[in-house]
Amino acid sequence: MQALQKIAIKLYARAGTEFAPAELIPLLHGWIQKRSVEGTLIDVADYSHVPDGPGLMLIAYEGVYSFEAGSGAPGLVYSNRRGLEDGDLGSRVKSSMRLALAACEQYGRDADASDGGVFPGSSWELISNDRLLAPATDLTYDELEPVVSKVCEELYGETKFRVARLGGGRERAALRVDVDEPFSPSQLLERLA
Amino acid sequence: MDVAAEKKLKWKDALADRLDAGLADEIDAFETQLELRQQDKLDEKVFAETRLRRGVYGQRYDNGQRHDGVAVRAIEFPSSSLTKGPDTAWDAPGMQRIKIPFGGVTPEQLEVLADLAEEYSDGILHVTTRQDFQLHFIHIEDTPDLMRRLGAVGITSREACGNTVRNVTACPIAGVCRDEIFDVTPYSLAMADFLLGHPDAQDFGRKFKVAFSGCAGKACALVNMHDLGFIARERSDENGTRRGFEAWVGGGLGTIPYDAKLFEEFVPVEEILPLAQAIVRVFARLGEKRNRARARIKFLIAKLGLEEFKRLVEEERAVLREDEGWSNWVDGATAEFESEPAGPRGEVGAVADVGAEYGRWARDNVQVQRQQGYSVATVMLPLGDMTSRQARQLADLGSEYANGRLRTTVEQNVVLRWVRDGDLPALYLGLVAAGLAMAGAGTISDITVCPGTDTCKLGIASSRGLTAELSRRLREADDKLDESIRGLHIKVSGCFNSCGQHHIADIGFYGVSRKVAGTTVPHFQVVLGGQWESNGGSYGLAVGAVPSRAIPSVVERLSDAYVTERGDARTFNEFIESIGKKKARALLEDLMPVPTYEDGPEFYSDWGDPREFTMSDLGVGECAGEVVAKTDFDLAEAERQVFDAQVLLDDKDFDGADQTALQSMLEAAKGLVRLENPDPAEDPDSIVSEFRSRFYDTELFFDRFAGGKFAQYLFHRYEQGSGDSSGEQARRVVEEARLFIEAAHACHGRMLEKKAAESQAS
Repeated sequence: MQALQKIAIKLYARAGTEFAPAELIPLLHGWIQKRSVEGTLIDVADYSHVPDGPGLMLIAYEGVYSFEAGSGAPGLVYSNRRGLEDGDLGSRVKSSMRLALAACEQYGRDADASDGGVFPGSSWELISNDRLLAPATDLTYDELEPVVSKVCEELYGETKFRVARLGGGRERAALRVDVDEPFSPSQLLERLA
Repeated sequence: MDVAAEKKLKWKDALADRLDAGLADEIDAFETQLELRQQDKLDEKVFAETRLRRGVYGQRYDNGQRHDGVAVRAIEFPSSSLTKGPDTAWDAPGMQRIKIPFGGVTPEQLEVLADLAEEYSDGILHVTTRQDFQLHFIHIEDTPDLMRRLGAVGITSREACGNTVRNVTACPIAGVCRDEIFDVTPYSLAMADFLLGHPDAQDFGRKFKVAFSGCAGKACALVNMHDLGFIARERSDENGTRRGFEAWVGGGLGTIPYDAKLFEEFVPVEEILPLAQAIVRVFARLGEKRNRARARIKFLIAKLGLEEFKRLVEEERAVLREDEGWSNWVDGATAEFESEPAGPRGEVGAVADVGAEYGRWARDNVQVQRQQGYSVATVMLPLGDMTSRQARQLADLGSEYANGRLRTTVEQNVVLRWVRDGDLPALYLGLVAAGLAMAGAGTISDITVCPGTDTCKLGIASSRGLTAELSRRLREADDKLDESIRGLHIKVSGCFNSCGQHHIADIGFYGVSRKVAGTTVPHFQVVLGGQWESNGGSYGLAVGAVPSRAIPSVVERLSDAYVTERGDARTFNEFIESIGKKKARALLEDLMPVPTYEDGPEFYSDWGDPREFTMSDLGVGECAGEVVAKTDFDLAEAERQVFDAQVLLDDKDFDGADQTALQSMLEAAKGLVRLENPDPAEDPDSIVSEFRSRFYDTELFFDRFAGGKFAQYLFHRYEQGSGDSSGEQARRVVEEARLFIEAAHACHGRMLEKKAAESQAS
């Protein structure tokens, strides 16, 4: 589990947020043109026709950014696909988190008419995307929780946070983090630096 | 476990006891080939064919270049110089095709596919027009583990691509169909097993596709468009009733569609494998190897003639060494492949509130089985896509309500079989919860589509973008649609290669492009008169190119005309035949012009893709402008002529069609020659000669993927001289002329772009 590389971070968007394809597709093509987010950016994939699907995706060599607009919980997911840098699991979680937050921050600059409020930074998920290294077992959760808690301490300082287990069974192991007050993506990025 | 120990965890070890030893060795060997290629110890071409034979396919932009809406820019992959094939960057994510013989997939397999989509792909499982699954954006280093995990549940991707026997398809309701002669499932499975990795099927110049149908009248297996197709037959004599198959050979879509030819009216079931073996041996021995464009078996049969081909196959069959695998499965095949589910399922029956949409879903998506009390439910997948979460939910529903019997379809859907009629409401609610209860299966909104420009390297226009738009509009209009319209079939391909099967649709489209005032505008050719029924019984012909943005109006216009003017025509196909291609084209002609950029900027981008990739092309010099105008005129004249050829074909004037099609190619060739010689000669000899020296020998006419194939159409037809044409020959020349003219448009576009770039540079 400690060698886990395929880490996905989902930052929840405010309830009711819709990522309209007509607006988001040009925006993501613009990100490729201007290299607005990190990574070897390749293309935009549109799955908005699939109910509760991954929505719109920005495909990079290193990972995939998805703007999920499903009825359940809209949000931005950064899912790492290639190896992150060496170091401990905590630093790799932070790397994925940093990329997800940077994309949220960029979205805020380019499209967020709600003054940075689309991604309140108060709820997120970590999903371990590797059933070999991190199957959804108690052992995996037991190992993941302290790592995530440590990242939360860095992100939220004195603010109390809650970590809950998600997934399990056939689903990938995942943890959900909640805090009671909003933190902008920029604030959280600064704290991770 | 410490990190070092974890790093040693491998799927190879974890699945060692679940993988067939032979398959495990094959995948290990493939993994070694990956390493050798990374060390540059394996030639890139050899490696490319190796990976293709394992279903590992390239994807758009894998040459490391992409037009981002402003300019073509390099995609800076980390391993910049390493390739996995000619002009194919190692690091570029690709597609993994996964074979599902006869479309049969178990809940356990579906769950593994869902896991793989999540961990290696983009979380989407895509069903193809050959009942395969495809996963996109896969990194090549992940493919060996992906194959191991598939192998552990009995799935292989071996020979899913490349010059091999592709997935053996079959009617998805075989065994439960009310019209079938008998269940073809065990025969399709035996064929798939027999030909997989067979030594006689390893040396083809091109792919080889096999299909099985339980009846002749329906479309389910589309036998007419296969290299080798079987339709169930029974023959009775004094010894009783015997099972067998009508065998068809040499069909295919591709750039030029060929109708399959009847090879044998009745092949006993124990003979189908040796017959297939003899056919693939003849194909491997005599089929074209160097010229990829003419390497399918349809060309070999056309060249030899059916009788000579049959003679060679029979000769081959006579000397084949006896193989017990030919028939040791046959006795078991007559038993029911799927027996009736045992015992009652428990609490089933009416569900109190299924909602208002249930009736619509049940009308469109449910078919009564041959077996009383059971139904088949079709899960309609938009654009053939479902998420990994949906796949798991579908696996659960398949276990709960369909006794684990699911099959993919060539319409890119999934069917659940053996659903108790009383369970249908509960199944429906389960599908609603999974977001899989879309009504409209088999109707006009259930559109077949290839990947097109979304992920395919060959795509010209956005077939998926167009299809998403058409489906949405048609679903919204469903209540108002005339019943005769609801049953029509639309199929869309992103280019002329027919992966979306546009030839066998009532209304088919394939992507092309046109230069308008120096700017490329996405278009679709409109293909009318095809027949989906009767196993893809007849092929449609293009009536003209319409800007992509106007295609929804094409559907509206044609369907309105069908409702109001159909007269005695029983089908859309008959309607098109009755009004003729001229009138059909006339219905659409006002949709063909492209407005100026100022009046219609949306025409200059494709559906779902806002990149105005042509804006940088604007600004062609005035000197070029005059030449361009004349060439445009020549190409427009060529289009008119090829359309006339189609009309002559409809009128059964085959010689006239053939000659006019040839003339249209000469006209287009002359237009290109004019780009380099403003005053070209008019006589055919000079046009062909000058076209050859200026455009073929220099490779200016060559398509990046098709090479000089389209020029060969002109040369080949011109060298034949005049003579009597059969209907099939004339039809082929008309299709070839259409493609030659499309290639001329593309060549013209490339030359304009080059001139513009040179002009900017200077």
